Amino acid sequence: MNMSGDIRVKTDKKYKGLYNDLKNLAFGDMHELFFLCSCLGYRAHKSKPLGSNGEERFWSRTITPEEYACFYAMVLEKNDMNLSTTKDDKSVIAEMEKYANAGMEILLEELLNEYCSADYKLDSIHSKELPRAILHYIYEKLQ
Amino acid sequence: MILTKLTMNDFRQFKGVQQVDFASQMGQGGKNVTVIFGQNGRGKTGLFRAIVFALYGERRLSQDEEVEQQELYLVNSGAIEDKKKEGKSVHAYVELDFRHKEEQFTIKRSLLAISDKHERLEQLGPVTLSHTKSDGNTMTFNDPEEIQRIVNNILDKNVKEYFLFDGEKIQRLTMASIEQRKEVAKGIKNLLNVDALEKAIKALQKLRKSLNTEVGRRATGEYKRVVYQQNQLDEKRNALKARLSEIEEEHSHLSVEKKKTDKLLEEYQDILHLVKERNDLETQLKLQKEHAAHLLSEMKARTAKSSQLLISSTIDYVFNVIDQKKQRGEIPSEVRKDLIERILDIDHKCICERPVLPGTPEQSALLRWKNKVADIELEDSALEIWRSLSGLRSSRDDISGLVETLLQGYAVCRNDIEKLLKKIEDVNDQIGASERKDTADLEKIRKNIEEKQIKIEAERITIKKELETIEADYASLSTQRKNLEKEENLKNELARRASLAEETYEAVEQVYKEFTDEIKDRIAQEANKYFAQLLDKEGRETLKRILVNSDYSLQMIDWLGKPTLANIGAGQRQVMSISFIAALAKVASMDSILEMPLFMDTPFGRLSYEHRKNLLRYLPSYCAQWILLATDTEFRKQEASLLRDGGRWGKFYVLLSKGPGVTVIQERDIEHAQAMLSDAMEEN
Repeated sequence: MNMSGDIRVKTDKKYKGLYNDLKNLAFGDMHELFFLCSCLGYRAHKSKPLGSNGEERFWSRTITPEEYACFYAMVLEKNDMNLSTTKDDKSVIAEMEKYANAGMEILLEELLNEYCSADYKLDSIHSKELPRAILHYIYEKLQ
Repeated sequence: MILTKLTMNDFRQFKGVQQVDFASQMGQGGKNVTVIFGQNGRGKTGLFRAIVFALYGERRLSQDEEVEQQELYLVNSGAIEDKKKEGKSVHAYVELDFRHKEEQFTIKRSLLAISDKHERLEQLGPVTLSHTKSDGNTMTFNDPEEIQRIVNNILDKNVKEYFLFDGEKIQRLTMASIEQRKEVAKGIKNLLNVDALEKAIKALQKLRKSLNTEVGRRATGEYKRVVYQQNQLDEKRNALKARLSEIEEEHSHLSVEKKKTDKLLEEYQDILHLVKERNDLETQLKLQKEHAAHLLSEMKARTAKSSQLLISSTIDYVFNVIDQKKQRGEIPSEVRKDLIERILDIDHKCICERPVLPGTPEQSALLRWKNKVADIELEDSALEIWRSLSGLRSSRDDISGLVETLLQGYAVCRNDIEKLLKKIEDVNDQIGASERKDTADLEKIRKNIEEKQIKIEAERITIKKELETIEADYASLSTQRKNLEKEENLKNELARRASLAEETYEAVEQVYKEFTDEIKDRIAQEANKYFAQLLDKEGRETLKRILVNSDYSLQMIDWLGKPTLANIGAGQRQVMSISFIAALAKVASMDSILEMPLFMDTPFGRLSYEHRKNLLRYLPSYCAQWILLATDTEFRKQEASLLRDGGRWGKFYVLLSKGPGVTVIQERDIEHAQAMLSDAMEEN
């Protein structure tokens, strides 16, 4: 558990444009979207391996200590509090990549589909209100 | 530039030769304030006009936009009438003496005027500039373009209104259009000497393009593909940037057209009240939209923090498990795992020398203990996670409270926007339903303009998004290109030059960005210092700080952190603009006082007494020279006394009427100004 900054975090290559668009429209940076997707995937107990579709998206040095702490918490809970599962940051991130991949599918299905086309391109005019839509989506999930 | 003397001959109300010597002592405590006092209509603006005319040859001031060209005369009418009797023309002129960086300049512009029974004609005469250098040599220039270039280098035409302004104009600085802002930004960059850096960036851009084209032509295989794609992206990026600036121009043009249409509509008395109501509603709508945009950016900044709420139960569970282990003393464990391992595997004896051999109860007990305790590193990690999760747990309520507030605030704001849109639509219908066909046609034109504005705004957003994607793709291709160069040892001389040009361009652009950001921050910082000094008590309670945008336009932030420029009064706008100008002068002069005059035509009209008091007290020390044109209602006994007490008031002139259309400039003793001001209303 070093909160390593030199890992290239991957996402499915088909989400490249979506990550870029959402970074500008609704999030400060890519790691924030990745964090939301990981939380969504984990909360729904869904994870999906990237396989050969994985593509490097951003450096782990952008991940905040709070986000890293949440990643460790998810890994610990999943592995019956076995502390050694947090030892290797690469495997922690790899685990999160799977949750984020499934989380993005959930986000698309439950929210983003109405903002983007079949090839995951966001409608920039319609998407101006996305920060509100995302915050509202999270808020609704908590109710 | 410090103004020393203004001489006018038959210019506006000033018949014959008349002159003003300005107080121009530089340095600490030097007399640098000149007051020119006169009632309305005595020619204060004529003096302002004379300075602008002498320096730039401009016949019209910004305040003349409503006046027809043929109605605006600069030559004294009395002088023309006198000469008319003799059948001669009038040769009027304005001569301005100033010094700049210890060198002397005199600029003289002439006008020729003649009148007969039917019409009056005025035309510009020659212009001369004499420049006496510090070594005593004098050069004279007659070419108008050359003269303009020299004057612009001293005080750029684009920023002249920051130093030479009338009371109305100063507050308009805070309401500039896109077009004006572009010009002003250009002028400010010139003043701050960052234009040279911009030129260097443009030159590097050209060099990079030509080298990359050459590299692409000679390359092969994968490398050729990468270079080709980079060149394509570069071209696309340039085209999009060009389109973006076209859009800004179109936007500015459409705003002017819309205003013109509104003005025409206002001429129809029966719908005048509706047009005014619509303007009010549109202003309110603009404010609400700004508020909505502000809330959206607040929400954008909180999406990541809110995501953690989705796994609150996980955070609680992991925190509690580690916390319990801590309570039980298992973390950190009493005995370190590495010590037990040493006893079992290396020493085979305890620290008390008791042997620990395989199969003995001692060894079994130690093995049980070893399985219970964790690695030191893992224990430390667990404690670190516990601390972070504790922080997340304690901020949870704040985050969810804020999310709720933001969502509610946005819903209210959206609702208000909808209501305003509905009201505007109703007013539009009423205007459009007017029985007069011409008003209905104008309304149609206005609607078309609005539709075009929406369309180009949408295009602007799309282009900006596309540009961001291009930047990201370009950066990724640059990395690929560098890797290929390394792998295939492709660094020939041409590729090396291209990559050097690329790196230099990126470095200079970064320097430019950091430098301009720093300058902007320093201007804002200084402006806020001045603003705090000049603002009255009421203003200090409601307004928090001035924000300088990247195009050097201004915004005001209130105590709630919201943009509030549209809501502040005219007096506060003036104080804000003056603070910005003083800050600009300070930053441009690298923390000393910029050698530039502040020439203010009737600036006090909209200011409260406290604002005036602060300006009179502090302004003489903010600037190198202050020339104040004031009326009897804004420069009274109290103001004169405050200014005199400051010790920097050097010259005092009074403008006196000598018959219709003729004003005489008379110098008065400052010591007697107060006595004179008390009965100043009676002219002799």
